[in-house]
Amino acid sequence: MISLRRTTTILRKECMHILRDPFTLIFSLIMPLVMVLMFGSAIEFNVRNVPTDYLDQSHSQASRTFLNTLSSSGYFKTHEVSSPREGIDRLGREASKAFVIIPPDFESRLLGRGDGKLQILLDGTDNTSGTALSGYIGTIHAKTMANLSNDPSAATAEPITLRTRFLFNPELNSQWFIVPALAAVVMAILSILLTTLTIAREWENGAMELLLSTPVRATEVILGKMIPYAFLGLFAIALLYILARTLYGLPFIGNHLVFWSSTLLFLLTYLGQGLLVSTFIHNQQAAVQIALVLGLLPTMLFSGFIFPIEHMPLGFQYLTTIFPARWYVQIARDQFLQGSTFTQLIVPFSVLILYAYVVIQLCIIHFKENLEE
Amino acid sequence: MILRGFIKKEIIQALRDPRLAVMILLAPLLQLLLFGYALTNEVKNLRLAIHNPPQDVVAQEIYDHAIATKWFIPAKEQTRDPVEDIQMGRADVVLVTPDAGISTRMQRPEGKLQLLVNASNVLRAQAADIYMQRIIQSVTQTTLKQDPTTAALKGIPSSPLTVSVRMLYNPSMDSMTFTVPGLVAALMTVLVIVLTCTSIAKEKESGTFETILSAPIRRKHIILGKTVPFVLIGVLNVTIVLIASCLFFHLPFRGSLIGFAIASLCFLYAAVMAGILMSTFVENQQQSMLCGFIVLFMAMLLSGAFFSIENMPWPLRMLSYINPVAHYTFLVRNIMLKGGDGLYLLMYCSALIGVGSVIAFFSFKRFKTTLG
Repeated sequence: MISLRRTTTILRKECMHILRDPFTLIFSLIMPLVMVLMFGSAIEFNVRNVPTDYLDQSHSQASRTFLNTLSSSGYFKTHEVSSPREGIDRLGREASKAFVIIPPDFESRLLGRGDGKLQILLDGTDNTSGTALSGYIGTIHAKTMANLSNDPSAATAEPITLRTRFLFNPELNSQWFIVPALAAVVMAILSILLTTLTIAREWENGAMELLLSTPVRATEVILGKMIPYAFLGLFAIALLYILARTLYGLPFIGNHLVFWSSTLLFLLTYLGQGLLVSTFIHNQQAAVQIALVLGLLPTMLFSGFIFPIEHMPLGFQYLTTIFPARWYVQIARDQFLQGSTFTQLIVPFSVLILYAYVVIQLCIIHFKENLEE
Repeated sequence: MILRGFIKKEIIQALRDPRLAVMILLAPLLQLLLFGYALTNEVKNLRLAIHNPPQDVVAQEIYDHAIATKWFIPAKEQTRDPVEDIQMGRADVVLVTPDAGISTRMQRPEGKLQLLVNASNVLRAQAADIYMQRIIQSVTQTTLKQDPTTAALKGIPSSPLTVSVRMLYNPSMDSMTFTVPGLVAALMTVLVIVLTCTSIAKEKESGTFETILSAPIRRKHIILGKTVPFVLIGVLNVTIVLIASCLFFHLPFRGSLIGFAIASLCFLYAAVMAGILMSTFVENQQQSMLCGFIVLFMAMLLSGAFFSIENMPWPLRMLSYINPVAHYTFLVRNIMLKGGDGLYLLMYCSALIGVGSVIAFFSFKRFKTTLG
């Protein structure tokens, strides 16, 4: 039988621990804030104002139209160079990312024979922005044609035009992609640090042995330790949620019940994992190291947070399924942007429930062993 | 003379710990392989579905062409409603043709194709759009070339303007070419700063630091003794990582080895000094790890090794100017991929020395050689 009184006593003790140590409390409040601000502003996949050199040997109406279209697009910031050599040199020392060369006979060929040619050299070292730039150039190509003929319908002179509709994130806002998944990272850091540090500390200074000598049961210890930290974690995610909605204007299309219940499940899994690590390893430093490797690294690398799972080799794609973070990131992103129903998310949900259950059971069993020793 | 003995002690101490030896030799290699192979930002495996009438030859050709590029893979079974296919996660990208089919519409001449993209992942959505544009372009061009007299394509003008785009330095748009040089810098940072900082923290924790302080050696000797071994370890490591990245990932090395060596030494100088400075703030290994984790996390996020600095807002871009990791990332990438322009190298190496010296100044100031 679980005694409510004993559980609340442990709970109260744990709360006092948290309140007495201002560092932990401040850390768990500030950390999500800093993470959201840093990641939200540092990661931007949309390229703007790319320093672009041009060499206009044609000096014609047509070449000026092209260059104007280029610079007014907002993607390219143009700068004139005087020779091909200089342009290549500037690419080499990172002064520019693109180099447009317009040959002398550009206009005469364009208007006369209808095969005006110009060349653009792109710095391909960063493949992501290189791909984006080559896409923008396609748009500028079409716009130049329209501007040259003073006829907007000329832009559609291509036999097939593609109209792309971006569902769920129409403006391709990078923050909308990053911030929901950050919830997983914030919880990973919080639960690892809090549980491993506090419990491993209790082992280290002998307070745990004192606790074990009392008639308290394993389940009660686990519950009493988990609940206050779960609240702290939920509070951090609430902070992240408010920042996401207000600062970055994220929509929330899903169901709050779905989002928060999955958050709680994930939090319990990670807190449980932290507890489990600290029951095995009674040394703070080793506990933190193991918790980082088991908790934080997979959350950062194998959850689809930044590196999409679909891009990994097949073996790694299977590997990601064993980490709860992968499933939580899927739910969190979906609930903010896509709004799937509970039944559509039944697979990730079942996995999270399974993980939470298994981890907490393992905690209780292992704690019992400790108690009986 | 004293200095030599002190450095010898440090090297013995660093190599005696088997965990450290593993960390020095194995961990960077493992991480290099992991990031290089598994964690790519090269967009592929986009699940493509198509909604078209059965006899639509051109749409089918676009679809086949898309699958052949390997960027797209066929989606699972599809339904009537393209939006629902995406919502239910059956497809990432759906190509929707006009009711009568694109082949007949192209005679008008306005073939409008709609592309629906699941944009909850920005990276993939962006790439899907660009890829599809390129595919359509090449399909229309080949169709035009092969069969210019086909009735369906009569009267369609080919564009009078040709823009040829050439990707320099990385023509195949390979993501490893971008990531691996950045990783070289990131791995060096973690290794050197953490090693330097924890080695002092460990001495503080075990109390041997006081023994060193009471010995008749000066502050600069202690700092030199605590840094020189880690510079040596860093040199050893950068060689291993460099050889591995050229061997496993077939990266080009277009610059001069001497330039690379000088750049690495400048960086190692700044890195060990940063390690010393950090160690003056910590009392034990625990704090040293936490502190190291936070500092390195920020330094790497803002280094341009994984996310390009040019896209960041200006306050963060300013921070990257004083971030040695960012300088070194630039240098490694420039030397390996672009051959290293002399003036550029000089500028960034002196920036590294400058930042390193400022850090060194504060380290010396804060480094206490008295007790209490």
